[in-house]
Amino acid sequence: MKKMIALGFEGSANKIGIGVVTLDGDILSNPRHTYITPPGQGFLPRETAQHHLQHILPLVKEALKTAQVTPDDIDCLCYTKGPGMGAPLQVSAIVIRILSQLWKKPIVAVNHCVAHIEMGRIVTGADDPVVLYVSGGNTQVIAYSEGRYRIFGETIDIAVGNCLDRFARVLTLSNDPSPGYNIEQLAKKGEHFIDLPYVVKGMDVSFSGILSFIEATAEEKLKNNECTPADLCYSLQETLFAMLVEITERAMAHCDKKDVLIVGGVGCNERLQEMMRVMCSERGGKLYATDDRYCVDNGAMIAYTGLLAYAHGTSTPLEESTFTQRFRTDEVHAIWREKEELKKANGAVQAKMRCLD
Amino acid sequence: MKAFDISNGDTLSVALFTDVTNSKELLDSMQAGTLEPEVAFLNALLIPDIFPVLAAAHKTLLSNSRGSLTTRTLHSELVYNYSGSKHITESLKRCGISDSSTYVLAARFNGSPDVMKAIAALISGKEIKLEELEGKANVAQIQKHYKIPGPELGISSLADAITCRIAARDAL
Amino acid sequence: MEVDADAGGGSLVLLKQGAEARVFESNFVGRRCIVKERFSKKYRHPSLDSKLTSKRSNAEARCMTKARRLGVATPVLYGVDPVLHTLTFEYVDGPSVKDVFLEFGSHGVVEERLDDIAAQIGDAIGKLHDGGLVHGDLTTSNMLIRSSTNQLVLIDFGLSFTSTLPEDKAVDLYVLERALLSMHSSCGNVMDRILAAYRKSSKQWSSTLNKLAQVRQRGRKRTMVG
Repeated sequence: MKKMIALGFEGSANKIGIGVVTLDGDILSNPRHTYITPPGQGFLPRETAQHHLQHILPLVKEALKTAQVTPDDIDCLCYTKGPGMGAPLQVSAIVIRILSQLWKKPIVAVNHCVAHIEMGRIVTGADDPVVLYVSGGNTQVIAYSEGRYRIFGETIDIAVGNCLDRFARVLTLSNDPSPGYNIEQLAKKGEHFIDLPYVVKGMDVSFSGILSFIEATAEEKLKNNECTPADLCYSLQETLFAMLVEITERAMAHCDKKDVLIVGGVGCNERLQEMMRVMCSERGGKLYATDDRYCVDNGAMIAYTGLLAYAHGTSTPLEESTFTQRFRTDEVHAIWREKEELKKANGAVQAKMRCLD
Repeated sequence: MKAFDISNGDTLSVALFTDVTNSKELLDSMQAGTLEPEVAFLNALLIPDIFPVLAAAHKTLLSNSRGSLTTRTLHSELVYNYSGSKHITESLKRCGISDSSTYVLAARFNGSPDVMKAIAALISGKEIKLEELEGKANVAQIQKHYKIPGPELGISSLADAITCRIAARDAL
Repeated sequence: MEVDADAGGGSLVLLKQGAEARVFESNFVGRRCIVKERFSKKYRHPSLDSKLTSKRSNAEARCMTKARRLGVATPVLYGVDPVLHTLTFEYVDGPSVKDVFLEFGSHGVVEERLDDIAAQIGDAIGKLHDGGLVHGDLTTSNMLIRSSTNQLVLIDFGLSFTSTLPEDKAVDLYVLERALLSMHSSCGNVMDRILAAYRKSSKQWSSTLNKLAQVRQRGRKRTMVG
């Protein structure tokens, strides 16, 4: 039997990516292009959308060519419905509507956060982990329960990636390849730990106080030679990541799960991975993390997650193929996970019955 | 007289006396440092139950094992700890005995039967059972000294309220 | 595991290894007790670690006794060891609210009991907040029901702090609301019942609940960027 294949479109932030994936998670191609702004500047919706428009069609062609498939081979077209920035999201939504009518293929709308989780699970083999989803727009601690990915903890103000990005602007670090990467490299040279606010509320965290504190004191401290930019990056990372590991551990204790999966752009950070690994091993669990090919927004994760839903009978009618800036992880009915759980339960029952024989 | 295990085999022996007539004498010899054997005298009006005294004793032994007593002796430390307050002089005055005390709890760490006999001999008064503590305690004075508000007594006994204050005093 | 150690005067039996503390059962001068030991976390910077460990141990001792002054039941604090970062307190016999609610989820809700527990939760939080105390970690795991009296007992005050700001109180409620949603969605809308009791208990309910609406709104806006 022919393997099911999906084409996926991701463009919710400053990256536009197209991926071709099979149902067993084989990535046939996954090209992407990133909109990089000058140091000291963030990306704005209008310019980002413009960038995506310029690159989307060449990327589609490249993706098909690398994967060595034609539109005929494709079972469904998947795109990011949200969450994200409106204008960039619109680009994929429009292109996919046109392609759907041109190629006569069904559409599957995908939640960006759920896509990160499913990609992480298939790439790492993590079965039922607590998921830390950390990116420029999101900071969530998620675990599967009763048909949905439920959010146990999250930031109550800005995302951790946003906090890092904005601090990179204070130090006017380069945005190439990403501000977070450059903070990570500089942090390796840091020596002195500077006390910063540490704000954990239950399983939630808050970063805005840390950001305003470091924004307000950094210039003064640097001028007086009290510390170096490297010390600041080091202290900021140590503090932010300790908070993230702490709330992840709290969620693990709360839902009685042993393993952790880190996804999202900030998930590439090796120091975060190292800290999380230490915590997991102390609890007898395992850390699953991916590198920047999968951590960072990409088309393959959208294709794969859409294909999971499609294979379980879900697709999106043309008139409902809209986009939305707000789309919570727990709004998605993860029908494929329910079937997995059912299979597992059946397997257990059958095993028991065999024992009885 | 009754002995309680506090920790690591250390014990606290206590005896409760009413109608005590020689408080001034006891206080004077204590202040002169000539009281023998060493013992703590507590104002029993502030003791509704023996448990908070034992909690104070536990705290005292812990500080002693770390060499970090605040007052001069193990037994004055017990009185200081029982007060739940950080004012040393004030604590010793309120929770220890005064010239006019007639109702006193004597407490001694690791007191052998002989030592306890010697302590009983120091005090001119009548020894009564610890069960009397609850009925003879001065509730108003306890509430005032330990600053125990009405709502707390809705969910707590007086003794537990005192215990919490003894335990939490140094948590800053 | 049995360890001979001098924390409660008796042997220590490990009950639970939590996220930041080990919880033992022991004996404190004749009473059954809990010894909670905060341990060092190897993943975080040593100076951050020691700062957090002692800060939380002290906050817990202070705030659990302050809660009692406000008429909210917490375990009786027996002792504090500032060097080993241990707290010794009363052993409360009874299930956690989490266990009770999970039982409701799998075997059907006992409405009367749910109402009673929700009312006690709302009442307790109202008292804390009016007294300027924010719990900081309100989940159903941190609430016990004393078997003998069905009284609600709040525990785990390590993230507690004093504040009179509506914002802090609202976030306190928001944390609880989310914990209920993620763990006990099958029990129906428990939060509404809790908030109804909170309004009766807290004189400042109106400013806190207004703020809560704003905090919830922020929660939804936050998902704007993927």
